[in-house]
Amino acid sequence: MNPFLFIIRSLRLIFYLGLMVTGFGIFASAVIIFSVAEDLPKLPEPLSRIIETPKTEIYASTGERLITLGGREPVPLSRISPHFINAVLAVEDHLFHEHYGVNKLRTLKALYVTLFKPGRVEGASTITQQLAKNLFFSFERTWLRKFKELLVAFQIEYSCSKEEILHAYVNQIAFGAGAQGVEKAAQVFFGKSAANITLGEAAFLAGLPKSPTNYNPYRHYDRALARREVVIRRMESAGYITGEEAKDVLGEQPILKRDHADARTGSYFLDALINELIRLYGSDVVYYGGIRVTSTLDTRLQNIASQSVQEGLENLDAMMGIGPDEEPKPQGVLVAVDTSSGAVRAMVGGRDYYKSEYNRAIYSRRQPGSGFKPFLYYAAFKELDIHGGTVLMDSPVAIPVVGAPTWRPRNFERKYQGPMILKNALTHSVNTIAARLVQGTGIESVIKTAEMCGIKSRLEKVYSVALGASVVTPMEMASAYATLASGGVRHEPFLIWRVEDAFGRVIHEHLVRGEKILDPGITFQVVDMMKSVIDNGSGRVIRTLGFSRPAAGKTGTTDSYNDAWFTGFTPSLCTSVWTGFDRERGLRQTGGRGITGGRSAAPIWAEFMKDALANQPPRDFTVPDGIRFEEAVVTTGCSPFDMGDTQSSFMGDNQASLMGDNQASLMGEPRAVPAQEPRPATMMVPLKPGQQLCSGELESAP
Amino acid sequence: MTPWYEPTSSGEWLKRSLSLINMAIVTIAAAILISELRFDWCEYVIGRYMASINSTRPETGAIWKAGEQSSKAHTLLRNIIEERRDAARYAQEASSFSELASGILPGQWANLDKEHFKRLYLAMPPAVASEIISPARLIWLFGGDALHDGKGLQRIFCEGKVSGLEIFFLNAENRVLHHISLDKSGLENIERGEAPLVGTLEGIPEFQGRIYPAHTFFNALFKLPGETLPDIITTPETLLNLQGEIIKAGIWNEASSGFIKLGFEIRENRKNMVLFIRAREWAVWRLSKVLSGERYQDEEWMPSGEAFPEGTSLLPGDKISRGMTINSAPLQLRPFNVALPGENR
Repeated sequence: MNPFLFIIRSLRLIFYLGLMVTGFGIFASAVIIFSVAEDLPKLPEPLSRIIETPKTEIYASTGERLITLGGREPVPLSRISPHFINAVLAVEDHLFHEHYGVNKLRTLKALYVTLFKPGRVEGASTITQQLAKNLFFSFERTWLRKFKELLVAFQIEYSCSKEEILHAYVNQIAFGAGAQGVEKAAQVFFGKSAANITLGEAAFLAGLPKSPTNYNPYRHYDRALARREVVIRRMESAGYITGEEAKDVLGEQPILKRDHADARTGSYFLDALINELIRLYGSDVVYYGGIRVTSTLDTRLQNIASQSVQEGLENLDAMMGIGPDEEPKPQGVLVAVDTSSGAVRAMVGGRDYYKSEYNRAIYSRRQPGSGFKPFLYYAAFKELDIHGGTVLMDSPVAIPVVGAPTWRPRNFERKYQGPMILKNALTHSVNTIAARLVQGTGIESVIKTAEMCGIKSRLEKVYSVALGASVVTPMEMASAYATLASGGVRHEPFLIWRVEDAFGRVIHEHLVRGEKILDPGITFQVVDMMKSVIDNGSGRVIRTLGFSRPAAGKTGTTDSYNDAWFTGFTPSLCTSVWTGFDRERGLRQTGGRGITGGRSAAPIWAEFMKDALANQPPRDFTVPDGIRFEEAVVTTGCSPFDMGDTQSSFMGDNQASLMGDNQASLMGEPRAVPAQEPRPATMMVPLKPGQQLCSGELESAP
Repeated sequence: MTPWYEPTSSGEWLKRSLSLINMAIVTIAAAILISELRFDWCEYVIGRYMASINSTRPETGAIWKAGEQSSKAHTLLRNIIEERRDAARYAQEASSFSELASGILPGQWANLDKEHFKRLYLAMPPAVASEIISPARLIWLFGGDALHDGKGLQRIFCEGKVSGLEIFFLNAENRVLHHISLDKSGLENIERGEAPLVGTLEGIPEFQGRIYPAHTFFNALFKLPGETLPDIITTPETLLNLQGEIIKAGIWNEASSGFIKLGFEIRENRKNMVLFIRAREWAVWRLSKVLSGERYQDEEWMPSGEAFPEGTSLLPGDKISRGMTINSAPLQLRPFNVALPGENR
């Protein structure tokens, strides 16, 4: 065949085929347009209207704004740095001002790459298309979705000016780290307004929307920097900046704002507070309602708490020989509660929020160990009418349990010291005496006391509950000890003082309602013993660390050193500190020696309380009416001045059974004390009206 | 007509290709293509069509959803505020405590103006008002900052409950200085007076041992100084408005907030019923003394609130002050909130 004819025939074929295909395409498109257009989302007028949502603001009790949620206020283009506008145009859509919603040549090229280059996908979305997608569509990649997006983009171009489109785009685009819109992004990443960002910062921000997760500068700073270079190069090639400017900017490294690192709140307290708000009002109100919340958080205390936990855990790492890159590391929790109201003033729910958002302060249930004993002592004092000067025997104890093996609790140090007053027993956390007390008092009474004080976790009805075998949360411990601190007045712990709507109208406020649930006299007696824990007992590290204010508390360490606690209080602030591993593992030094609450949690408590209370004058616990102090010999419970004739402990009928077998009679025998014998160890014991040292008659234990 | 045939030469091909119709088709196609590339008319037409049907399209998609959530949130908040406003209006317009309790629904709350509270309180007879809150407590609450370590009463907060109303007396730090619970039905009883009980005084155990014939009772009553009488018959209208004759009177065995209940057995149309009024405790004490035949001595009275701790029970024969013996039946001095709605201590 004549080659010329072949060419002519081919051209003809191609032309008519093209014409047919185009015609069919137009027809098919028209059919699709008519069929899908009715269901496409409505475009708001003006476009920026639905971008506006009022922000929910959460404030500390001290007035600082802690976080804003969900709010978006579009800023006009005139209040956005032109560098940013240029950078966005250069990197996202340099022909923005020339096309009508779609860059046809780039789309054809992308189509070709997608169809004929397997494995490669090339984007060609214009700013208008991106806006359409972000406003109305999901991120699923389908041809139909793309087509719909295109139709909406055409409508946007028809209905809005280029300025309006750009304005909507820069105000709704996601930059990651919870920043939506350029103003928020500038605030989040650089702590300044979008109007004031530099060229380098503008280019840095403009690079992020391509993949906010991959380029999250707080996690992948190098990637974000590399992406910025791409932006700078495009700006240079688009003529927005000169080569010299590009070079200068590339030499700079934008400095990120330190205290905002993620889309997450970055705070265990705020997580807990937001959950509480959602429980009260639902998530719509919290994220879209524009409410103003005044929380109970004290930012100064929170900062001190975070620092104390951090330093305490670093010391613990060193004690345990855990290197900086070694995992797992022990966790630490601190909750501080205002004793006069129940307001949670500080909360640290773990070692590093960004590694684990799990809020151990309110969700982690752990055994409190001896930290539970104050509730036992209160119950025993109330039920048995005994006091800190009552003597019990520290000796091996075996308590039969119906349907279970005999309970044989041992002391932590595996040593037994014989008779001692209860104040001394709590001071040194003697388990055998606690076991005898729970046997005499009854489990129900101990559990009831703990529950009245604020323990909400289910407590098992077993004797060992008195030694802290049932799990509780640090928040519960702080709250329950706060009841003791306030003289027996219970305040429900809370996080929110006040909630207002956008117009300042109050929709919720917390009323401080104290409920008097404990006897003030007995409570004081228990508190007095807990003071001794800090002054002379298992928590005396508090004093060696320089915390000199009147304070009471109790250490708690479980048998396998899985949990180490210190919960304590001054008259105004109650703080619970827990340390331990998330998974079952004991806190042990490199040599294998276990680490107690007195060595891990108490130092954190001391450091926190020292700084937290620095601005307050020292104040001692109020002594209730009728309470008098008497000096008691630690081993006998009698006054040191009565030693000659009554060197013994006398117990009432209901107390005698608490003595160890074969021990009670020993207690009853008066012992002659030589005149030259050194003065025995004594403790001051608070007594209620009617209570006496060495009172009653001793009866043999059964 | 010559049937179509394929050109046989290149010239023919060229000639036919450049025919008018072909040139027109190519030109039109090119014009359409170029004009579209240049003027984007296709996008414009589609955009215009889309805009024309915009109002009929649904408000769907991510941003509308956010808008919807925002709208839901505002509706919810508006409802809360409106409920609060309603409750506040009820609180300010209420002319009695029972109206107040009925107006503030469960879950609603409102601040009650201090002066308004006082007006509601003072509008009631003292015997009735003291059941809401004792006058001494109220004076203590309204007594200013000095009585409360510089943090005295700031506002009164009412919260609706299913059973009635909780009233909180708050200081500037939102701390509850005092709190009272008002039970709706109990409140109506307090304000309207206790409903008459069909039956006799003997049928009510609390009067046992302190029931007197009417004439004995009134004889004893008139032996008291005249100024004492209003403190015994505090709400005379309760008795005056009823038909029938008073046949017996009795003294309740409990005192609360400085008042003791008196019962009057009325016979009307051969039916017996008991009417209740509240009398001042100290006046009843004097009356009891006269009824028991002892000589009345004015200085012997000792207010129970000071002489005995709350909850003290006096058994028959117990001396409650110098030489004084209560008749024969137990007289229990119990905290106000044990048996009646009122103060929560």
